[in-house]
Amino acid sequence: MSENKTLFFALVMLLLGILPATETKILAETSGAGNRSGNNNLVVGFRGGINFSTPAILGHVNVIQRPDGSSLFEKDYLPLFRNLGYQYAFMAMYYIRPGMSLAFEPGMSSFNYRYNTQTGWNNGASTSDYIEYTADHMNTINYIELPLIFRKEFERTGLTPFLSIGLFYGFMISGSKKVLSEVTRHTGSASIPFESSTTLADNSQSYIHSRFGVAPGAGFFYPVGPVKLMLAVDFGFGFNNIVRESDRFNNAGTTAGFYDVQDDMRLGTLNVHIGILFNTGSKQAGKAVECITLKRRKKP
Amino acid sequence: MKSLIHTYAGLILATAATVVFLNGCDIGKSDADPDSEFSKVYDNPDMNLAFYPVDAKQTSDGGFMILSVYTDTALSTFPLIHLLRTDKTGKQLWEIWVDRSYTSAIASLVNIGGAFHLVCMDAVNQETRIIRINENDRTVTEVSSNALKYPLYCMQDSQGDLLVLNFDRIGRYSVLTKYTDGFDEIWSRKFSIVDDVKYQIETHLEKTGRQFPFFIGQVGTGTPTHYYVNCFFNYTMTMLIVNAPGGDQSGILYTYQDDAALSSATSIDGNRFAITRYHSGDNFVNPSLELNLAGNQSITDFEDFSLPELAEDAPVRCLHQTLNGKDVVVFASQTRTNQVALYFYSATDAELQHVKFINEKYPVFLTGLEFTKEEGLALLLQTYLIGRFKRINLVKLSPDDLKY
Repeated sequence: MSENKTLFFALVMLLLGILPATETKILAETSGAGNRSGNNNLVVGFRGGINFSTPAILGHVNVIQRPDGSSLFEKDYLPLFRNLGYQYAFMAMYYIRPGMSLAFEPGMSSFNYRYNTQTGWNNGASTSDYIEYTADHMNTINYIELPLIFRKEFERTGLTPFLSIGLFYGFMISGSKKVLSEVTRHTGSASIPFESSTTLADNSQSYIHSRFGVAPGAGFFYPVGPVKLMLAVDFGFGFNNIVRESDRFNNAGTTAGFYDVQDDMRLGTLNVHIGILFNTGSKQAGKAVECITLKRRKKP
Repeated sequence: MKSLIHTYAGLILATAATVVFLNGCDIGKSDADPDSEFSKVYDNPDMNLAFYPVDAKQTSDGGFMILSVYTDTALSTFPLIHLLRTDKTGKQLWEIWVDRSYTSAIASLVNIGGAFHLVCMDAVNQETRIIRINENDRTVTEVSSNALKYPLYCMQDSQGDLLVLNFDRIGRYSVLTKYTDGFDEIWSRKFSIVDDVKYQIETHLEKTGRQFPFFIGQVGTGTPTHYYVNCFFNYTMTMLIVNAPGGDQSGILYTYQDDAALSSATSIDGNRFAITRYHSGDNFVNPSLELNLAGNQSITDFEDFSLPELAEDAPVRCLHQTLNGKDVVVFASQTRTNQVALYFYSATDAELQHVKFINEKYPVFLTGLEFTKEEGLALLLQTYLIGRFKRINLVKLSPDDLKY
C-alpha cells in the first residue's frame, strides 16, 4: 500500500513538474500576438457519462462459516458490464504547447458493483427438501473526484484523436447497499417462495474516504465552430483498498441483517465520457498557440 | 493572463496538497489486523439441528474453543455436545460431535494441564462426567465421573481448583463440590431446596424451558476467601455465599421464588459486588453493592436501577476488568429490539461511563462474555440465522471498538 501511495505522489509531482518547466514559454507566447488577438490557452467545459466498475478482490471475508470451511455464502461478483454507474465533471484544460494539454476536471462519480450470495439448508439427509436463501447485493459508492489529466492530441482534419493519462484522487462522500433477499422452500418439484424483501442500508462506514489511482485513456475532439465536442474512454486503476478494515464488522445493519461484510478490494472503473469545451479566447485553443509558434519561428 | 495562469497552477498545487493530506489521514487509519475483530456465524446445512452455545474460551494461539449443545428432532431428551475450534480470525478449523452417551454440557471449559476439559451429563443416568478435549487428534476422552446428578455449572478458581454445582433430584438439594485439578473431591456441601424443581431443572438442561442463571464466582483475587453460588435454595433462586476452605454457608442473598433471580454478579473488591437481577420480566443493575458475607439479606434491601431496554428476564454476563486503562465493570445483555448491549461502569465510583449497542436483525441469546488476550471482549451468542435456524455467533471486539 505504501509503495502505491509513493508511486502515485511521484506521478502527481512529475505531472505538476510540467507546469513550471513550461510556464516561462507559455507566458512568453501568450504575452505576444496571441494575447493581443484574444487567444487563450485555457479551455473550459463539462463532461459526463457512464462507467462500469470491477472490484479487484484482495481478500475474501465472510460472516457465515460452514463446517467444511468452503462457505456457500461466498460472494459471486457480477462482471464489469453489469455494474453500471455514472459521472460528471467540470473541465479546465490548459494547453501547455500545441497538442498537449493538462486538465483539472473536478467532478462527481457514482460507482456500482454487485454480487450474489446463496446458501441453503437440507431437511436431514433429503436433498430434494431444502430451504434456499439468496441475496442480490448492489453496492453504490459516490466520490468527489479530483483528476489531473494530461492529453496528447494528434492533429487530423475534423476529428482530433488523443491519448490521455490521468491521476485521480477520489473522496468518498457516501456509500449505500441495496439487498434483494429471498427465502424459498423447495419440496420435491415444488418451489414455494417464503419471503422476498428489498432493503436499503447506509453503507458509508464500510469504506474509507480515499481512492487514488491512474487512468489511461483515449478519445477524440471534434471542433464545431468555437466549441469542441469530446468523446473519451479511460480505465481507472484504483491503487488502494477502499474498504475500511477497522470498521468491517461494525455496520450491524449489513453484518447482522445480511451476514455481509465487504471483501478487501481495489476498485477499477471503465469510464465513458462525452463533453463539450469552450474557448476562453477568440480562437480555437491549442490551434491558436500552434499558429503563434510557427509565426515566431519564421522570424530571423 | 499571467494571473490566470498562476491561479490555475495554484489550484492544481492546492489540490495535490489536499490529496496528500487526505491520503495520509485516511488510509493508514483503515488498516486493521483481521484477527482483532470479527463476527462469525457457524452454520450447519441441516435445518433440523439447533445449536445452543454454552461456553467459549480463547486458546493459546488466539483462536477460540466453542462448546455448545445441539438438539435434533430425531434425537433424545437431553441435547448432545458439539465442540468447535477456530483460528484467531474466527475461521472454523475443525469440530467434534461428541459421542451420544454424553449430553447437556454446561458452561465449564477449563484449561487443565494444557488441555481443555468440560463437564457434562451421562445420557442414561444423568450423572456427572468430565471430558478432556484432545486437540491433536480431535477426540475427547472421559477422565473422571461421579454419581452426582444434573451438573449445572462449573468454575475454575484462581488456584486451579474446580467447583461444580449439581442438582440432587431425590433429596431436592443444590450440591456444591470442590475438586482439585486432578478431580479429587476436596469438599461437597448440600443446600436444601425443599421444593421440587426437577421439572424446571430438566427443561433448563433440555433447552426447552426457562434458562436459569446458575453461576459460581470467587471473592478474593489470589487465594479465594469465599465463593458465591447462584442456585436454587429454600424455594428460591438464591445467591449463597460459602467460605472457601470448607464450603460452609456463610451468607445469603434472597430473591423471590423462581420469578426473580440475580442474572449476574462479579466481585469487585472486599465484600463489594456488581450485580444484575430480574423480577417478573424487568431487569435491574446495581454496579456497586456492599454485601454482608456472613448474613442473610434480600435483594430488595438495596436500591438499584431499572434497565427497561433489556429483554424480559434478560441473560446478563459481567466482568470486572481493566479495559483501555480503565478499571471497569462490564455488563453484557440483550435488548427487546434484538441488540446486544454493553454497559461500562466505573469499578471505583460505580458511575455509568459508556454504553455500546451492537445491532442484530434477528433475536439473539447471550451465553458468554470473555476478556480476550488482546484486551478486548468476545461475546458468545445464539442467533437465528435468516430468522429460522439456531446457530452459534461469536463476536470479537478489539480494544479500539471499546474506546470511549
